[in-house]
Amino acid sequence: MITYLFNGFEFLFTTMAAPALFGGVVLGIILGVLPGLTATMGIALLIPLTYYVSPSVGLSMLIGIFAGGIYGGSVSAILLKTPGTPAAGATLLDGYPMAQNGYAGKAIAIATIASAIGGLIGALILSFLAPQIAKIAVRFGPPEYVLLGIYGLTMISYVSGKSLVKGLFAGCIGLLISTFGIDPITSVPRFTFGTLNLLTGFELLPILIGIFAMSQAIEGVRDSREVTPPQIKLTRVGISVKEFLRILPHIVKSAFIGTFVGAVPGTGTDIAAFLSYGEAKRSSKHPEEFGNGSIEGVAAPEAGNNACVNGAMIPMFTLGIPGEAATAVILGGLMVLGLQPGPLLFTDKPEIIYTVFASTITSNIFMIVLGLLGARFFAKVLSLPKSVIVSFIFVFSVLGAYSMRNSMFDIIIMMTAGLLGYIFSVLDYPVPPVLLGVILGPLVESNLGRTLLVSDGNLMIFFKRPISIFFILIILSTIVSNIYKHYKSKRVLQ
Amino acid sequence: MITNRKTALEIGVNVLFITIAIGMFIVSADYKFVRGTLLGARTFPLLVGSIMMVFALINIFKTLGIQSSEENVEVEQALKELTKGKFNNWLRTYRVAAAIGLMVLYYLMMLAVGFIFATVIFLPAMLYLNEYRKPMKVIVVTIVGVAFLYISFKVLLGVPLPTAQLF
Repeated sequence: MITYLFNGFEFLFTTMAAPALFGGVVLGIILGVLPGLTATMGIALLIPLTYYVSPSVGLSMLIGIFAGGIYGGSVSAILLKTPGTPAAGATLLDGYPMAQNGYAGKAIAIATIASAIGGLIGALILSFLAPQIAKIAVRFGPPEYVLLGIYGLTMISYVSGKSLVKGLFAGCIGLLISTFGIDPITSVPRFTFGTLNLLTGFELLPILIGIFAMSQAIEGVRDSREVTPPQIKLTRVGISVKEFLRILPHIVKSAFIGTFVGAVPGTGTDIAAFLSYGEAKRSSKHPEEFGNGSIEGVAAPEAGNNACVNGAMIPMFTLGIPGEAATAVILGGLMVLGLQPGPLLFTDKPEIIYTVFASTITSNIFMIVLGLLGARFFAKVLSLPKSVIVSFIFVFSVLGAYSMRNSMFDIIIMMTAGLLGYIFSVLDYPVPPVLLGVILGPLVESNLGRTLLVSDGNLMIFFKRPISIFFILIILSTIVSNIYKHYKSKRVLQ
Repeated sequence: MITNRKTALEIGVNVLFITIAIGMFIVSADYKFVRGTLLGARTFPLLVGSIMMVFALINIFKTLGIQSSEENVEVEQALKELTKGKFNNWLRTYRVAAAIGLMVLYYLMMLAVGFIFATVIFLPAMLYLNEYRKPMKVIVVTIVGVAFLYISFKVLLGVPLPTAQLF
């Protein structure tokens, strides 16, 4: 494994993968800095570019955008009191008061250092833990894949936001979308209406770009008259050794919290950040400083959310289960590149997976250099006219949707998905379940068919295999815990 | 007023997907099951479509329930404050409708004159809609933007751009 990882580093630094990663981190930070634009959107828009380069190079760029995007959100949280991404919501609590007190540069330095160290710890855990999980997952047969897919679908309950029913409804829409095209068992063309465009079903990429990029661009147009709050001036970027030693234990602890939270599908960077913040406040010697500009209050959530980025990739790479929106989009990117996410990726394409791991580690080093040396540049990004960026997102969306199959039909699909995504956002319907449904639908359907054909329709096959029983228990516990959680939150509200 | 429109939209979306599910049921009636089993091209769509219809109906009843409740008055008030008045809310709706209209026109223009010329027309219109209206700046952004897109996508990366298909 160590040899593979070294080979990954060798590939990273002897090909275009390292420049692509660097570019991805820069772009991610810029997108993260700008409120309203997210890393998820950036990844969705740039996936089309990845299939004109090798998969390792393309994936390195996407990893860079993801890591940079989560960190970038802290800059606007500190300087504008507006988190660039939901993950930076907890950073705002102490980052902005620090900036108000004249320590904006220090707050950004802490956020940068904490993000990089937190991300590095998370990346190391990912690199060493994921192959071990993949070793177990490689024994899966069709029944296990059915249950894995169903387990993935139960994640809808975690990404549903306020209403579980709305989330499940959105998930069903995704599943229905996945039924277009040739049936995996009987090979009958399904819902194609005689058009060749639908023979292979709806392409994933136009849907991704539509619901994650175009819908945000429509929101950007809608809110184009909103005034941006005044920006606080950036002071000298840096911290003392004493301050670093004070925040270091919180960074390490938050990194472990973040990685663990990320590895549980259905959670997210925002949850990791707030949990890390809460733990830092609980264990701090100066809890009274929290909320008034505590350096620990900036370090902990930033370490937590960047570690979470890597934790979230553990179930994605090993099981092919996306835990939240950004990993779902990267998973879509993997599929667009012709790679099947899951345990076989570790045995079939180890050179790609270990280059990705090398990228996750290296992205944090790029992040610390860029964050400390380029803080002034990224602060200036905040004054970029959002109207110009939003206008170009429309054009990029069209290009991205078209470039996969050179099909005008895919542009129509992208626009429809964009409109649906926008309507969902207006009505508070969650969008990630749609994507979960689109990705996991074929996995469940094809393996369910195979399982039932092999067992002559006998459902008891699911109870005869130890890994299947393990999954059934996990699925049941997830469902029960969710019902309990919703019941409890309703009682609290009453 | 605002929530009334939202309610109508929510019910409309759910009714639309119920209709789609029924349409899929009708179409999938042509697909046969594998002999002696319940497996076939129609199984999964039937299963998912039925579940989706149940959730859609729950959504509709829930929406109607909220609409008639007293809480709605508070929600209406909060939304009014959030969207800062009737005119601003109308403007926001107009912008969304205009953006969608522009996208449809953009698509048709691409079919007629290809990507480059369509973008040269689309970008200034979208910038105008986004309150970016100084003529010189708009011209510069459009020309530089289109040149950048052409050079980076077509020339450097070899990514094909949409071409005119009508003429």
